[in-house]
Amino acid sequence: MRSLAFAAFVLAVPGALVAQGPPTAAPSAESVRLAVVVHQGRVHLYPGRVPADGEGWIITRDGVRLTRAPLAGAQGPAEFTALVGPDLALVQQVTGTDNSVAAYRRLRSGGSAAGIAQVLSPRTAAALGALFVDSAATAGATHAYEAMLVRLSRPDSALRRARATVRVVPTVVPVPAAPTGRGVDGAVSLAWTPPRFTGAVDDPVVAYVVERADSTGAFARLNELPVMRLADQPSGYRDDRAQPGALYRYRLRAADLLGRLSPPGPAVPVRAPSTRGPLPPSAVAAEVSDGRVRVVWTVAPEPRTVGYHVERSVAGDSTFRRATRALVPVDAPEWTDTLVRGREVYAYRVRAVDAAGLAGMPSNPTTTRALDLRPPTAPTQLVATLLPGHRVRLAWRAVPDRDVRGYEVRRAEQGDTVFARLTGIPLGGTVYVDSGYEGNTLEPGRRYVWRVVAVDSSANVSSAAEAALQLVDDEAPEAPRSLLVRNHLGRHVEVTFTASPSIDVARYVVERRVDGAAPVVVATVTDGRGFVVRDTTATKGRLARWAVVPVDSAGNRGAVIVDTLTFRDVTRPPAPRRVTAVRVAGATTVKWERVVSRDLRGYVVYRAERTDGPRTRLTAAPVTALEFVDRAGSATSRYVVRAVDASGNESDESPVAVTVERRP
Amino acid sequence: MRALVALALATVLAVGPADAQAAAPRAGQAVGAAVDPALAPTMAALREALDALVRADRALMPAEGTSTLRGADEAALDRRARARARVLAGLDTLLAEGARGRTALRALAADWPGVDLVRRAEVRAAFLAGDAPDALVLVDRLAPLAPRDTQYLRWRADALDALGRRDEALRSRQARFELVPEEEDGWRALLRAHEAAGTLPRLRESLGRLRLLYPDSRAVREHEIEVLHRLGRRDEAARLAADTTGAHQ
Repeated sequence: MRSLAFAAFVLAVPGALVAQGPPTAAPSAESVRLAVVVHQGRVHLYPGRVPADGEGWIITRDGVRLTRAPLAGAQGPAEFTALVGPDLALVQQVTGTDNSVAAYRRLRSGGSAAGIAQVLSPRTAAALGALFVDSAATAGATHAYEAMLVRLSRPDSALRRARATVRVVPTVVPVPAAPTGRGVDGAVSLAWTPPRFTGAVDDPVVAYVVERADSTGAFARLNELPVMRLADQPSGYRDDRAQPGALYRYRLRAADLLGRLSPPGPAVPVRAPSTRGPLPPSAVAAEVSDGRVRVVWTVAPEPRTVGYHVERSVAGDSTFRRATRALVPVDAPEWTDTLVRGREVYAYRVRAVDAAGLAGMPSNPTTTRALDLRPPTAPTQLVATLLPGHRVRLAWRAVPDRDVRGYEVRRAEQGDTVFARLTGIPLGGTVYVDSGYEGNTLEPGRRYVWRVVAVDSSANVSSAAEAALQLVDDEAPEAPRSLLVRNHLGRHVEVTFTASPSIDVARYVVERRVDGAAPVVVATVTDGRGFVVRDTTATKGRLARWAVVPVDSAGNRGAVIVDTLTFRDVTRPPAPRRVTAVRVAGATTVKWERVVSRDLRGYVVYRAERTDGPRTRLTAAPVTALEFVDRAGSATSRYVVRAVDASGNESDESPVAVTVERRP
Repeated sequence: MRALVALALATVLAVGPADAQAAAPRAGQAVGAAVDPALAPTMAALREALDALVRADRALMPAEGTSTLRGADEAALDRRARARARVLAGLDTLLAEGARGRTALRALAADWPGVDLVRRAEVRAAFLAGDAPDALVLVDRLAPLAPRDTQYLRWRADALDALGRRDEALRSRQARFELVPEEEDGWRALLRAHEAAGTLPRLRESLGRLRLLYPDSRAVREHEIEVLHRLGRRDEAARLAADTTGAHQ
């Protein structure tokens, strides 16, 4: 299959094979380069694609069209068969078909098979419309060729272009280097590394032919079909027909697109292994069932075979190791592998063993993916241990199953109906520390349940081991947010707040605090009620602090949020009445009648020299008595009195009292 | 791929190694026996035809290659076909001559050790003469060059049967059948051998295995159905038949 890749590479990749002459400018995106071979004065042009039905190549040389009609290849299997002629068998081999019709259809669909057929058979390339031979080129001249892929219905439509500048001198197939050879599994294995593919003028090699001679005789070709050159990879050939112990010489010839061979390269001597085990089975197959892979193969035809060994490689590794301890009996060519892991890819190959214990070369491998439908054993002894920082360590005993991929940890808390998986990929160990969602620790005070299951390589999940733990609530809740304390019309204090972010707050205690006094609990609010509290017992006119304390279900008192307010009454007391001012011996005694007010704090006395003149406050603080003696007044002074309540509200002025002089 | 293998085998046999050609004295072989002069014309024509056949083969598979492709010389192909026909006719003539012809074939095989047609004719002559031991020796000498040649396997089984070595014969038939399960002759011979040995259940097991190896082979399934019927397991046969024909869908 690697050779197929190279064939496609040679013919499809721009510049894979280039013409004689200097390099041309890089082709545009839709362009490909022509692969060109000059032989006997004729220029063989290989456009890089087999035209599909309804398409064809138009070839021009120096702008002059060479093809009257687009090059579309054979129109139908009959014409194709006639054009391919003796190469039909080869084409059928390449396409894996057994008749010309199927081969034609396969090649017409393009792909790597068409590329291979083009490389191996110029007749096929011509029959597919992918080869044009210009017999009228001028020897030694340089021509610019262009191949344009068009639709037959629209010859002016250019689907693809391929260009090459060609100097018409014979293309020389270079001589290959000598291969290296060694005896492997009773055969001679040859390997050689082609030079790095450059696509240059001197690099037209697409395949190799291997020749062999005994120690003195003439060389004879070994492989009818050439070994395709691999793109920058070693090529190889296995000579299964070497006689045991014989000394051979091997050499290579390189081949170009026309099938022309180079002169032979240097020969290397290789001695075939002196002994050779039986041939491998011709067919090997595998059947998958739960936990098993049954490998079967054909009976070895050689009578000296006494048994078989099965070799296995795992996970696509090319290293095969013997899987059978004892020989599989020669007449019972099957073996069941019970040591497989589900979903793992296994390749098996078989060697026949003769009576001398000599194992032959291996069969072609058969590859399969194992199946496992059985869940693994459940983990046991799951223990949950509380760690500092509200984390929990889970530990369990490993399960003995061979195909366990790891463990999954799942968690639920009270009220959950499903368990959440905590582990993205199965854990390799048997310990897991649960640090909560995104590492933000678990919630104190909650009860958690954990389940641990084993997961095998087929994603089968065991039954669960379960453990539960109640986390001690030792963490105070956070303070409530957005506390607002305000005076509601002087009637009461309204305390409003929002909930604490902590989710385990059981209640909020609203306290009023006044300096020098013990806090007074105003209210206790639970979650179910709105967070608005009225304090109707606050003392008016006195600075106080209202605090909201969250308390969780474990009784932990959280951080406090506080707001301050001086509760005041907004209603003025009544003004004092019957105010009199009597002056005796230079002292004026102002008297008034008691004002009835629930929160009366006292009275304030003002003096004025005129009735409508400015007032002078005589009492810094309200006086509670119903009289006041003014020793600084005059005989013409006038007095007014205001009542003051606890909130500092002053009443309207009393009527103005004029000083009355009384003689002693 | 099978065509490639066959081609490779043909190539090997056409240029067979020297050690396969070195004939050791065999049971029933008269070493150095003279060829009947009456067969001289036939032998001469045969040698000429063999010479032409070998030359044509070499022309079609060039020793000093000049092309990656096999020669497309129609004339060479034609020459080869004619030469082959003449060789076959000559060999058949010798086979019809009985003991005289067998002696001549031995002489021919000694002179043309690399020509597969002659070696096969020698084996056939041994069978016609009822000389199973010699046939077995000949086949065992040739078989390593082409272990998967179904005709060798068949001849080996026939010779072993004739010598009473039933188990080995059965294995050879089994190996032959498993290489080409579609071949009717091989199947019938294997079926008869298993019936005679009373090992039909074993045959059925091997057919189940072959169903994995040749999943697209209708013949394997049909054979298994036949064996199931012979074993009286008609329900299983019906299920397999339905699965094969798609009747269950």
